Amino acid sequence: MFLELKNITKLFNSKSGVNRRVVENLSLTLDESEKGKIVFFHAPFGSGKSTLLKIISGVESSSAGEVIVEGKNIRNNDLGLYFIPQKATSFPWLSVQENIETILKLKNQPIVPKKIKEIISLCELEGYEEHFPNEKSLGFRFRISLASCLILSPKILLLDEPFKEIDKVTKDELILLLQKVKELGITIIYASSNIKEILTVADIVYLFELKPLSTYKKFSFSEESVMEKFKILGESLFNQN
Amino acid sequence: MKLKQILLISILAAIPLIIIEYLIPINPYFPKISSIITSGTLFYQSYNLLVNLITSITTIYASFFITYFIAKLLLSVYSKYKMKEYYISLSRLVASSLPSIFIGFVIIMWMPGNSLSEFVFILIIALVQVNYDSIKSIQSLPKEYLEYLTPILQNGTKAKKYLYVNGLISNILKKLIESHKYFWTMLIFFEFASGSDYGVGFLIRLSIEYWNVSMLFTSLTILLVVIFIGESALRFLFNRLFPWSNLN
Repeated sequence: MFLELKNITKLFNSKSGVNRRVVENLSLTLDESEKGKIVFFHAPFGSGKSTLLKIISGVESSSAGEVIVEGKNIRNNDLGLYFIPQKATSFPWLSVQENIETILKLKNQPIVPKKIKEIISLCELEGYEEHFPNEKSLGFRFRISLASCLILSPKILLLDEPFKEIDKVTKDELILLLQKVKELGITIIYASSNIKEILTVADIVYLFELKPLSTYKKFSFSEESVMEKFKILGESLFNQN
Repeated sequence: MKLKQILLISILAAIPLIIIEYLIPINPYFPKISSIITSGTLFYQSYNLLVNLITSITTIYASFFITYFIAKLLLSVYSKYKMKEYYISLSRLVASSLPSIFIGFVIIMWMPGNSLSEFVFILIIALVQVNYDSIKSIQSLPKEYLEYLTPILQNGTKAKKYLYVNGLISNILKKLIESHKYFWTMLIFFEFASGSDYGVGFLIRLSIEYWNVSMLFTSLTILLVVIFIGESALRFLFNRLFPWSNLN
């Protein structure tokens, strides 16, 4: 197995003593053949998709269960899973180039100018190396966050609705960029409540039932058009919402 | 500022000065410009104007300099420990409800009136402010930064430390520079109240003791110029060092 979620449960304890169950006994697998694909987690708004991505990336710990990547538990292991949240996360106090270099420095990895140049080129940030992200668009800032993750050669990128507040034209450009990233053999897990968001490029779609996240339907696509994907998903989507 | 504006302001400022200098007879309220200049010379020759100025300037900017490093240290410490609610409340209470002059009076009573005591006073009030600003900045840091950096570094504390020290320091310095005038006011109060024989506060006290309005206006003019130059320099430096965090 490439990625395995084993009986993941996440409980949030409120001060009033009421426990909120966001993820319940969720098990999910991506096998070796599904490596390097774009995986779309689709669930209704507020159902706990972000929490699930945070658990997979190790930002949050689960109340029960474990996340295993290539046979290793993610806890205390750097397995190359990086998370890009919905809002901009590039460091405004650093230029584009410095953002990427800082990640390498913080990881005690050598700075290889050739590789940085390649990543900058891939993320279409050429000519902007000395620009600062503040006052730049969300799309631009997403590219910096993506470049900073790509420089570390990740295995899995977890994206939490990063295109939600981005205009249509930029969104289309970024979707093309994700396809290029996929071609590098990187698995992308993209969570959104908007089915249209990246359905065009999604290879695998997980349709989660209403909260707590527990059961789902899995669909794998190869060459289907968006309309065909919609047709296949149709009934399940209707039942979901 | 356009040349025309400068000219207009100069004319507007010159009118009352000319009236006071040539039309109004000598009075205890508005000193003549010539008297202010004479007082300036007197301060320079008899009361070590330069030494007094340097003492006050050093106190303020040395405290700022040290506060900058302590702020970095504080942010680093706060990245390692979860702040307790009572500590946050206490910091807020001290920063917002305890008048700085209380601290000043206590220091005057505890320490001999020398330049070290005024330095300690300014440093303490700067630290009280910086401590609370650090807490507020940490609380308002978007959680997304941490969520992004934690999986990359595989270490929440290291991620926090980097974000706090590098991302929040500009916020804290910005607030410190915005309070620049306040720190000068507190320093003048301290020099005035401690009965010291140094600093700009001493010159102001001297003017009041002699009931000499020209001397008072001279001291205040010097103070105004020093604060203006100091603040402009700090803002210039800040905008150079932190171009992404604009301080207007």
